[in-house]
Amino acid sequence: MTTQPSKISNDALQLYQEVLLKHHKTPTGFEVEINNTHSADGVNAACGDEIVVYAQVEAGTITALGFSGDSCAICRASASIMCSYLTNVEVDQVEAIIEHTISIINSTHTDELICAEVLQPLLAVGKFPVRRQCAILPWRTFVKAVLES
Amino acid sequence: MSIVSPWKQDFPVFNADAYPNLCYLDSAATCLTPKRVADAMYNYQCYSHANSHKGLYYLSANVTEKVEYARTRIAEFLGASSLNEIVFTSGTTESLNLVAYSYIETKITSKSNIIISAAEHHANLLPWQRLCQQYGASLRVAPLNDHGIIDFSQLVTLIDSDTLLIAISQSANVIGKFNPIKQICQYARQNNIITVIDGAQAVSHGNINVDDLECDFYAFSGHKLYGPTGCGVLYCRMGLIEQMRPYQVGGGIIDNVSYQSSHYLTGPLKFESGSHNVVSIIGLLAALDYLNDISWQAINAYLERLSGYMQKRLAELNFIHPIVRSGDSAPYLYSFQMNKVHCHDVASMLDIEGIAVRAGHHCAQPLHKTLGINASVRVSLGLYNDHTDIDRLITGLTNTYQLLKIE
Ligand SMILES: Cc1ncc(COP(=O)(O)O)c(C=O)c1O
Repeated sequence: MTTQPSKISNDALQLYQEVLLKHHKTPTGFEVEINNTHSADGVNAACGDEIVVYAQVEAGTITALGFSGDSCAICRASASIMCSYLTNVEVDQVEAIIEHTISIINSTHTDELICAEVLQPLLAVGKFPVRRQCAILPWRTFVKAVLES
Repeated sequence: MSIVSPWKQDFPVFNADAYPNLCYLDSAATCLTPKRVADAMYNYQCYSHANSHKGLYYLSANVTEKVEYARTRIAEFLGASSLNEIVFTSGTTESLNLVAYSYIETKITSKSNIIISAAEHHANLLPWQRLCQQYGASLRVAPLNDHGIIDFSQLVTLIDSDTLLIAISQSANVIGKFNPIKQICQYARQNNIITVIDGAQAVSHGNINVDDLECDFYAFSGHKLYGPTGCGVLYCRMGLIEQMRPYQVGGGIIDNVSYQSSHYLTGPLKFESGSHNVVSIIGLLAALDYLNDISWQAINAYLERLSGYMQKRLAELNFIHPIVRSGDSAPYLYSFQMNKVHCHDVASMLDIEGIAVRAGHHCAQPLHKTLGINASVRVSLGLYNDHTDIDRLITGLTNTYQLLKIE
């Protein structure tokens, strides 16, 4: 028996946008080797996402970031975005940036939001409430690694 | 192939004004509710509700009668010899905790060991784990064979003269195949070992006979039998109740109380402190009636045929892998992983298409670790499913793989 070719729905494509899929398939920072000074692991018990986030902090600046673990496409893409976005950011600024990013992920009124281009793929996640936790996990784990340690 | 459910219209969730396109493949988590069950609960609550077992007036006496009638019917359903062996609980979880704290805790010592299987739901692991930790006893885990079934010969090697209890599922919630529990319970009885059977998944197959199985305890939940949540059952073999103490105390379970001491009732009521969840019990009774009217033979014939079709179609997808080897049996569920696509993405993509499946560790984290994986996707069947649900699932999985695969 053959499977009918069928169109992937627009809703699916809205969540899994091309840019997000690109981050998922060729992620920045995935399993990169750095001289990390900080690391932490995070899990989403409900769905089984597991991630380790690590960073190299030198003289108050995040000079490199990486992540590893077995997580879903949304979590991986979000971690990849985070690795690009937070490189060379000063530790002092990072808390505000992360709070802002999390508020973007949690928002359903994405039309009114202004956000950096690199964060754009995360805007769609707010419309899929059960996936917000996946997108947020890397950022919270980063906070645990760098700010709470 | 055309396999069409004759019962789908009995479930109002598929009505035009609810979710006509719902493809519900998560009956192992909870079954959808037939109208007959919902109506029975509504009618009871509107027109007959009162407190059971307490009031002397007509309305209350009537409710008591209904609850006791439900107990009789459940005893029949389980093949128990008496209604006095049937305790109402809030679900499998409470039933298992009840055995742990009303009975096993009174017997356990630091020398004891308890045997479970590698596939147990957390509900049939945590109570024993905690007791073992509390009393310094040991928890032994019987391994599964390649097909995901408890290996009897390996289980036997774990047994010694200090084995107090064997607590296993008749059918585990991630694997869905039937374990050789009759063989295990008979062996246990010959060796004076207590047996607890978690029947949460097996119950939707009917044809249970606790006498024939020779188990001491059997637990299940009403909501996995097309009834409501909030009502479960614990079968306790005759004679055991008298050796057990209530682990939760309060109104309705005593025949004599002073400020300093109490004397508990005999029989199952001593475990049913507080007010009964009558509306749920009524719902469970209506579910039993509904299923009996269809007949277990018809139910199982239909679901086995549909399951065969599901297994065959899924086996055709070379990008998914069952978590244990499939075999001759056609359990009503199938757990798998997709090549390099996380389970959560699979469930999300299917959800967007209106297909409800379970993804994660399904409350069986140690089993997933034993199998060397973090999570899986589980699809499971109920009376309302038909071949179109399977076809939609196959299309959804194919699309998911196309979109998310990593070359
Ligand atoms: C095998 C098994 N045991 C126990 C349970 C717990 O049942 P409940 O949540 O109704 O107490 C479940 C529910 O998923 C189950 O599948």
